[in-house]
Amino acid sequence: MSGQYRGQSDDAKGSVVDDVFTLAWDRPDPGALVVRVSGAVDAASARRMREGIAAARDAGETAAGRVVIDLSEVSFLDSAGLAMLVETASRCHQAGQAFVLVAQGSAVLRPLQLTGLDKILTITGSVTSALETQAAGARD
Amino acid sequence: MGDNETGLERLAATVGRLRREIREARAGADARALIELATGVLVERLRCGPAQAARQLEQVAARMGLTPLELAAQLVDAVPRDSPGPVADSPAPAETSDAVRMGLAESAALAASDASQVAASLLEHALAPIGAAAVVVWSAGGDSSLTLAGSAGITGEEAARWRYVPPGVAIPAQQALARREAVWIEDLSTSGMSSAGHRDLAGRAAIPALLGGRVVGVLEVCWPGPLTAKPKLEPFADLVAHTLDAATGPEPAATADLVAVTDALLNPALVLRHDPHAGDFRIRHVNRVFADLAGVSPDGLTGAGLLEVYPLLAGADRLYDAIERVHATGEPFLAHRMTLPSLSADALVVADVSVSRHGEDLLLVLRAEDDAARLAGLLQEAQRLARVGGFEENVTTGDITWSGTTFGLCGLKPGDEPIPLARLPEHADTGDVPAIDGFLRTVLDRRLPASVTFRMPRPDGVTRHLRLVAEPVRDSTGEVLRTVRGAYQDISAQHWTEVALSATRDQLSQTEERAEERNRLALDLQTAILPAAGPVIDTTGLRIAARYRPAEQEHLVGGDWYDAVTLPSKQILLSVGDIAGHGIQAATGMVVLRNALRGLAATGAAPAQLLSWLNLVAYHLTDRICGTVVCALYDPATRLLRWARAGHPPPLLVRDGGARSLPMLTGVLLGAFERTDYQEGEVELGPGDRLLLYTDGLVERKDRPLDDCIQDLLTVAAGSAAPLEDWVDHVLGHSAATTVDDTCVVAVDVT
Repeated sequence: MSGQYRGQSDDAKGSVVDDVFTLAWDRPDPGALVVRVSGAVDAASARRMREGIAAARDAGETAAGRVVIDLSEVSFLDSAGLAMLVETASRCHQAGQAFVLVAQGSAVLRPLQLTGLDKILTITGSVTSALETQAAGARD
Repeated sequence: MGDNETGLERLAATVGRLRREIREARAGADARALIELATGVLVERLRCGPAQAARQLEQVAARMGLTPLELAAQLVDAVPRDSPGPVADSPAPAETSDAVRMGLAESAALAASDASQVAASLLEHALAPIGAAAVVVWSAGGDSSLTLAGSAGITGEEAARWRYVPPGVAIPAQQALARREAVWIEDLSTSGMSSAGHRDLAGRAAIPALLGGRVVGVLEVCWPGPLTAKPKLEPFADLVAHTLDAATGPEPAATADLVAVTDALLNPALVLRHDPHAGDFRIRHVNRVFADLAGVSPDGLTGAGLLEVYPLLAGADRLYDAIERVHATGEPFLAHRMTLPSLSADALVVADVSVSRHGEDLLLVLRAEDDAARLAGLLQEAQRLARVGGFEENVTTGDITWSGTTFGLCGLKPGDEPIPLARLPEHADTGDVPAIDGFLRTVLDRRLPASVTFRMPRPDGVTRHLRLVAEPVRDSTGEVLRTVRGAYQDISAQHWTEVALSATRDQLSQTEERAEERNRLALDLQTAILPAAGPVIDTTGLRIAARYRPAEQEHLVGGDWYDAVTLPSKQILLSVGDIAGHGIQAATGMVVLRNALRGLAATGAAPAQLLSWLNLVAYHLTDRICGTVVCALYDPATRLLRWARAGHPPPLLVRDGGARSLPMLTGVLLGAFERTDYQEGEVELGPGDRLLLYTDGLVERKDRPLDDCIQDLLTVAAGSAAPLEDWVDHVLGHSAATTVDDTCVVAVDVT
């Protein structure tokens, strides 16, 4: 079960690719959903990222017990992107899904630290460890 | 109050109707395709034009008690099965073929403009296939005479010879007419009777054509040889009956009679007919008295749907129920003292109501109460609700009496000189003068009641839409006096309802413009609250400057704010914040948080506590606001600055020519989690210290790590020792930020 998100469509193949932003998802095992994001996450792309993650969470016959958002390839993250991550974490928490961020590099880590989200969200350095970590999930 | 409610209800109803129409139009689009297909089938079968075929479809459907869509479905469905080559020994196709034959004959018959064409199409499509050689359609007169309305299969001369059969002449059709039942003649030559084509057509069937229990004619079918079977012909006789009925014209005699009756009535009356497609009753006629009661022209009502004209009837009103019941059951309805708020938008009507069915038509008669006391009460109520002002004018002497309301409606004070009718054009909008002139001619010269609607620009600058109703006064002998009386009515509420509606429509068609409008509003909001250059605050030992720099693109107006205010405790609150997102939502979120912080700070609580509370505000707002803020309290007495941050870059301190960021205290951004604690920091400021609070628009660069960006800012900040105002502009001007975010800064000099 995998897919890529193209705009508003349900198309299982494809991707959101413009100059700055791409998103694709994958279900490496039935219990986990991994959404890979790359490029710049700013006010313009945050909205499309929210849609993409929503589509990914809705795809598949069963909901994944764990949602991993892989931000390893993200080059820029601003307040709109952070707000979107908070919203997504909150939705996952409500749905009983563990929420794990994969982040490395200061472009993503620094804003997370600045906003204090690093203290609250579960953040790991790789997708492998994200799938293994006993995630605390989003705190309410 | 009455005006507003009425206006609102009307608006709601009209909007509802427009919505419904759109919905129906959508649903109709699918249906239309099928109907067009069926129309095409008819065009081909009947060799007529598309318009005629469409009319045809409607009529046949009505006769068969189907909707045009259902019939269309059947017709389209029937076509492939009607294709040549049915299996001979299979009974099913034969039945189908019968049904289709019937349907096509019916279509063709109804398309036929006179009885001869009906006869011809019946013969061709339905009767020749079962061996018949001729068809005669007789029309029955009121005196049991018969007229040959049409024929097929016999010569023109023969038809002419039999064009009229007086009462009592024994022919098969005559017998069918008298007995009201089918007459079967095995062989005409041995029956002792004659009929058209008697020389070579032996077998005869005469079927009475019944309509509503009345024999309107006879269908006579002729076979070349003696009759051996009795095929089922009644459906064709029904068809003949409807054709003969339709031949009397689009306005059946029954309606014409009813119209004549209503016109002779002194009471308001209207003739309705059920329209099954619209689910409403069509107004076929209104008499003059009714038109006056409702204050509209008869032309505007005739042909319209009852609910279109009086939408409020569809609500809780008993009258519409009564009309539906009478239509369904035929049982007359009579009610005394029924309140009819729905007939006139501006006044209640209390009337005795009678509804009765005549054929397919319904007659609705009202008798408005004329009891003097009740009328006075009603008038008062109507005046209150409807903003009606009465008047009476003696045209000869020029004496004018106005009621108190009338002065108000015309923008005058009681005691002012009333406006004579003849001088009304001077007070009306010039565009309405011709209408008023016509009205005055009717009332003053022809001495007839009349009404007119016009605009009156009043002395107070307000233009009112007024309706004026007037009638010449008659004395007890019926002679017209030189006195005219009537009423002015303010119908502006209705007018504004229409205006509001059209404005709504315009707005809907200009969503794009509206989006721009919203962005402009967001910017206006920002700049109204945050002047681009904040006031310079000079307080004990402190000098403050603030700046707001909007985003370069108008549509990216964000939710940045600054604040610097002296609290009741004499402490000074400094804050800058940034709401995630852009546009009107971010801007309104900004207003909420900025004002909430001010209010919370008035409690005297410390910055960390303030941010915990502010987080609760952000978290529990319906549109959960997500944002960052840095908040500081400076006590001039101790020079101590206490501060906390919620996900925001820490303030920057310039001291002794060097610049540094204050420590990165713990503090999560606002609105993310319900309970959060904030770390609080303190710094004792001394003279010459300079502090900068800023939002990330000042530093953010997509191509450079945030720490480097902040380092750049520190360099710029330390690079100038200009006075505070100039220094702030220097820092803003040398900002290396590449994003188009908006930016807020507050700078403080300790003196």
